[in-house]
Amino acid sequence: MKRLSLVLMLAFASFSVLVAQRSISGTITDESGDALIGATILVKGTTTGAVTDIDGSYSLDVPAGSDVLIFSYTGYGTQEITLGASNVVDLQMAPDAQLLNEVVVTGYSEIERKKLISSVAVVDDAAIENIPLTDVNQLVQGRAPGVFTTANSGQPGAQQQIRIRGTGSITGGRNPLYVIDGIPIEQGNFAQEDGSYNQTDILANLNPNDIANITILKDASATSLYGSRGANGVVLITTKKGKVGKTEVTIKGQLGTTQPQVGNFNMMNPQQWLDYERTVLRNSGLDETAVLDRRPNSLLDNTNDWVDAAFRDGTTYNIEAQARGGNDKTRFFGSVGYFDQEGTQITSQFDRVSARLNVDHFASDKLDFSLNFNSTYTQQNNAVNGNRFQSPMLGAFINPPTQGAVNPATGQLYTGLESDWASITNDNFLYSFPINYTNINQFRLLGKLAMNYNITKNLRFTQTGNVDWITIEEADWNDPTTNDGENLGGSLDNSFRNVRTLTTQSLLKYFTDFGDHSINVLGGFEYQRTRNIGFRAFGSGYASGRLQTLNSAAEANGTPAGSATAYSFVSLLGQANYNFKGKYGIQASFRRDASSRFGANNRWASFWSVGASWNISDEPFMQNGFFDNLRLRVSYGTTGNANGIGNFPSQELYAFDVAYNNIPGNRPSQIGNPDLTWEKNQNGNIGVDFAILNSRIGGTVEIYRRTSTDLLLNVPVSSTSGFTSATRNIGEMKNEGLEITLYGAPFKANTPGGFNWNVDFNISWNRNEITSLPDGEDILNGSQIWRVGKPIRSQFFQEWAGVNPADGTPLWSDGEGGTTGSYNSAPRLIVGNAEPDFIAGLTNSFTFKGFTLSAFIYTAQGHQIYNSSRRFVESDGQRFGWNHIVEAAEGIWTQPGDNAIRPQPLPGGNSAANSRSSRFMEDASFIRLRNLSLGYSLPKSITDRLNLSRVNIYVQGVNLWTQTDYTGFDPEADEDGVEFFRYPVGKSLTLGLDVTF
Amino acid sequence: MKKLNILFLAFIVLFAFSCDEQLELQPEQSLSTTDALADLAGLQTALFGAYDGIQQTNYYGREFIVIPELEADMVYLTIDNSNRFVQNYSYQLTSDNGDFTGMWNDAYETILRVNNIINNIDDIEGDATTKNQLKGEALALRALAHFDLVRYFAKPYTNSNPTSDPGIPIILEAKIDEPARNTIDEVYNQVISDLNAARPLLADVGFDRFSPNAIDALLGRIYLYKGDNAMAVQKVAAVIGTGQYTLADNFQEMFAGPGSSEEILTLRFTSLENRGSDNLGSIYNPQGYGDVRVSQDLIDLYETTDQRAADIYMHADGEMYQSKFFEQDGINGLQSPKLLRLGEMHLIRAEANFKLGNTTDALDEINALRAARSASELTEVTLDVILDERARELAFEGHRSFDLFRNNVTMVRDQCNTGIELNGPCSIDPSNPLAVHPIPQRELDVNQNMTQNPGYN
Repeated sequence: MKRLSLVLMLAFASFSVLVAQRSISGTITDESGDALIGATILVKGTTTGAVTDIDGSYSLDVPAGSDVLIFSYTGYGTQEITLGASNVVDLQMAPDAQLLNEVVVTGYSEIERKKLISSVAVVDDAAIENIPLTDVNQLVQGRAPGVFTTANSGQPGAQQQIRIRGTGSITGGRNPLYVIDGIPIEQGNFAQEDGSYNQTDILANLNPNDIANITILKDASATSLYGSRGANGVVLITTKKGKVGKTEVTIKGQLGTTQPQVGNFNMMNPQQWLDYERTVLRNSGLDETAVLDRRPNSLLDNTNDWVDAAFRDGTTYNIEAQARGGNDKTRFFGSVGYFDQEGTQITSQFDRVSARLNVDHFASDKLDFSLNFNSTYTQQNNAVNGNRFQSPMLGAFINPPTQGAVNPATGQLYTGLESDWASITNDNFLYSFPINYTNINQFRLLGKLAMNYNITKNLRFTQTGNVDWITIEEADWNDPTTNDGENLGGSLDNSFRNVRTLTTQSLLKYFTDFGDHSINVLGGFEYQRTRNIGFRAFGSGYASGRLQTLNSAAEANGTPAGSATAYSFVSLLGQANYNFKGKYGIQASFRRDASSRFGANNRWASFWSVGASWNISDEPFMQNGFFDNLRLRVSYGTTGNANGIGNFPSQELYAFDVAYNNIPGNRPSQIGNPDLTWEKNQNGNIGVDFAILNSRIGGTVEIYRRTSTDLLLNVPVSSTSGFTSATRNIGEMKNEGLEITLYGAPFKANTPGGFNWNVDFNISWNRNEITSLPDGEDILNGSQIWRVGKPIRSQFFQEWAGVNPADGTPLWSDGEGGTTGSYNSAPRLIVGNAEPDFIAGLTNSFTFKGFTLSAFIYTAQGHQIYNSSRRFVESDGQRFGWNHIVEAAEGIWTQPGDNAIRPQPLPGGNSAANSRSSRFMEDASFIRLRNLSLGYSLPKSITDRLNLSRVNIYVQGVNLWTQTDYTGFDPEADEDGVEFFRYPVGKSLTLGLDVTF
Repeated sequence: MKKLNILFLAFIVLFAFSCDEQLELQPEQSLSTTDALADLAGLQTALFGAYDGIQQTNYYGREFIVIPELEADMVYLTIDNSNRFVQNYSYQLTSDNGDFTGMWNDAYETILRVNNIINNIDDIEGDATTKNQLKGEALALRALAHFDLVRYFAKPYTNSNPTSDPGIPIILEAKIDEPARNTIDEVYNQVISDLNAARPLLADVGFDRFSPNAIDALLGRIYLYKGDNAMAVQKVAAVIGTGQYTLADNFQEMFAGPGSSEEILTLRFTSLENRGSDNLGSIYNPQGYGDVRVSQDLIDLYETTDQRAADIYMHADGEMYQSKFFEQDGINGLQSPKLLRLGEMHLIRAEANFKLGNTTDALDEINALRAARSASELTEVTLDVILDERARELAFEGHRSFDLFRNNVTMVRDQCNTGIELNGPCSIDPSNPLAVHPIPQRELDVNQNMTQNPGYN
């Protein structure tokens, strides 16, 4: 490969053209007449350019045959000037209002927004900079229409769910493809699939302040170039680049606090708990002496608020230095940062050290290079889930409030192993959790080198090599003095994993303008291979908690585990764009993909798209001027999905992970399916962009239909086969939706520094429907049903019908208008949908003098969450001895004739009343003040005196206010619509200072 | 120019096709079924995988041993519990119960593991003795899994119409299918025929794997469950007659670890299989969950001299616990369940003889066992006497509810709803639909030919 590039370069070295030149010079100023330093001037169609100096002046030599200069400056509209007779070109630039000239990255290429055919959403750095969230996905939430993000956990660095234009697969992967600076990268959780961790996200290893913009590709005309991996949309992350001009150094500092929020969830206080538990005992027929014997008043002597104990206010620090600058040959952007965030659950924590260097170098008119190098190291102390005794998420709700934290006999914290410890966990998380840690340390290196060679003026070749190297080390320690470690005399679970992805990309781009015609053609080849290897070992029997390595373990606990797997993709791709008079555009894309994941029978597949655009406002009949811009875009195409099915889904497999009597065994681990292939998506999109009133108001309206066929479905099968599911290409689903984006400037200043008010609004509706299943039969999947004609997230439970007034027992709907007292005979019905009716985001931002104020409100409406936690804390006595929510004691049945809300509580529960049913299903609509920021930039007069370029001081608030009727922790549940003692996201307030030299 | 473009494209295409080999990746931690089962070594490994299958927590790891006790009268679930087995003790059984679903899945997973051995071994080259041993053990495990399923999910043979009442699907080959339930009688016939086929193939390779004696012992139990008392006597007599097993001198010591003189088949759990709180004994031990405690009903059955009562003790909280499964290899709660042991053989023969009218033989056999356990001699034998003796001898070992319901005896808890135990019914009649477990809802959801047991829909 490399060799050929060399040959190519040599072959074309002789093509250099010697021509006459003319020298152009001038001065560039901003809207108020001040010199613009560092504005870029480029000779159109070449890489010849210059940059304005401290006085705003420039000069450059323009080759003969070129007569158009392109002037650009960040935040200002790019202008093209055709050279006349004069050799002096002065220009006053205007701030960019309509963004029409903005260049949009669409993956393998870039395009001006006014020529864009695809449906894309762009979130730029202004919207995301300085927000103290760890994950890119959290930053785009609500900012882009059609993009639905939810937080599974409040653990800093935890995985987020992001769905673009609805859910496109039933059991295949549903996450979009992530592309950083042009290269598809690994995503998701690489920590052990232990099940007791909050899932981590490797994307948290990217410093959000390094991001220049995030572009989300939604329709096929953009995503079909990503072929078999584009079906769920593509998130393109472009990092900041160097700028020509004086080197600017910015120091960023942040200090913040995150407070826990448990929503409307209120646990009983000691007296309430005692009263309630006594009621339960009385209901079981015990006499008063026995009741008081089991639940005596002395329980009130040593109490504790366990929810309060499990959470805290976490502190966030961020300190960071960025430098960017360059000249006409070399530009760079570099940053180093340290970010440290404490979670709201005790001991949970995340910190990140990151370093980045992005360099562009123009070796000659023909040859340029770009290097992106990023290394990050993150350390996470993971708040484990409730399946460990030590979990505060468990203890906070299980430990009765009448159990104190401190043992009065010793004056020390209870360990939980004492015989007078009342909670069934036999663990005091205040003692155990700080000494039992779950550390997940992830190192990621992303290194990319691209070489660009202009074979001719119109033909550009790019060769890129990329390394994505992820290393994960984990240590999970249980101290011998805690319940989780006691049984083994202390235990350590150590693991190490290495995931490396190598990518090579070769692209050839051809572009030409002649007359009214403009043509862009792209062809390329991509090869990517990922290998994932790891091992894991356990030690047990520790002399003391002070030595915590496997070496100091008395014995191995279980056999060491090791794993290795790999997959690869080989792809050819091409795209052609034609534009006539800047008014009519058409585009066609093609990609042919092969993946090791599929059987030889069905290894290769092709994906394509076509699209067209029409600038209606440029037509003569539209010249009366109501519309400053009116564009129609249509596209149709196909994409695929090859994720979420493992690396060898087509093969029938035996695993060797079992043993009897310490002799290794094997077992069938997978049903084979040699015909398995990509899930296919057909995407249609129609969009209209408009701008009116001098572009003060504008927006985009889009409708789409996305049909997914040959769904990769883990079809549940009869377990008499020895398996519970088989992966097949079966079924069809569609997502249809409407997305509206509006922006406006209700108030626009006439003078610099005057009052400006900008509004950005987006709203999107998505309707999901399963359109075909094998033989039209329902498929049941736990608490959800897949049924033709119904959305994928249909909640399928017994329907709660209240309490029988006669005897206080529960009732469920019998499905025929009546009720039944037998849970087993109550039919399951569709009682809810976990997907919102619509989601919307509204940003109001104000600027005046040096002040900026921005408020971003996010809402999701009309979805239901199954609040599974309530089954345990509102259990009608089944969870006797646990803590209960305050409401559990309200409206309970006491005597015949009562029209009670809750059944009579009995030890062991009342006739399975707290079994899964619509009793715990709740509307989870919410409105949330997602972000509020107030900033102030010191005036130039002061910064000049301080010898600084810029000083910004700001306050950021995240999730400060939420309005919802939902009674769980957080209405932002994951896509399954089930909340079960989740680590809730917090609300935070951060103070920050940016100083630029 | 054009030429070069063509050259370039040609290069890309060539490179792409040479990449085809890059697409031929093979898994590194699994083997294709054909490779895994290609030789005798692979099948040997598969056999150990099958033993692993019955060790899972939902099966002999814990649930299958604990649930038949909790659904009866000899233990109770304390009111302040960790919420395990609440449905079982309180008889609020639902078809989405995870323990039942788990047992169903694990047993059929084991059946798949052995079917792949049984159906492939004849095509493999190798030593005939080794092949026979493998096939014999696989057949025995298949029989065990089917038998455990049918007694767990269907009516007892002796308390049903076995030739028409549904049992469970018989699975003899790897297949994704929607099988209907075979009748109870068909399942028993298949189980017996597998065991009869296995016996001549086997040598005795230790008490922790199936041996000819273990086959006879299991057949003895199965014939007793089937009501074929003569065959039960015959099979058990064959095991006892070998003289290979003797009643333990010290009952407590027998449960300190595997390998006592009584053990015919023990499922060995090594220290590497320590599941912490999910060890079998941890549900009984106060150091573990300690949820399941000893009912006064059992305590009242023992005389003070009886060695078997020494397993019951009072804990600091004043409640009664049992220490039979206390620890193994120094690990709290770890236990290698004794699936078939000599004590049970004597009880099988006594019960079968009693039912055949040989009451003297039955009484003598009971008294011989009682003498070995330091209990006094009895003077008469009835079904109740035999059931009581089974309760004493086999306490906590996963027999009680089967023993009651297969004999059409009502489960009665004398210690009931006193406030220390979870609320629950004080008696369950064998005719109560709850005396039979529900078929897992999951199976009904995916298998159109599956039918639910009465009372669950």
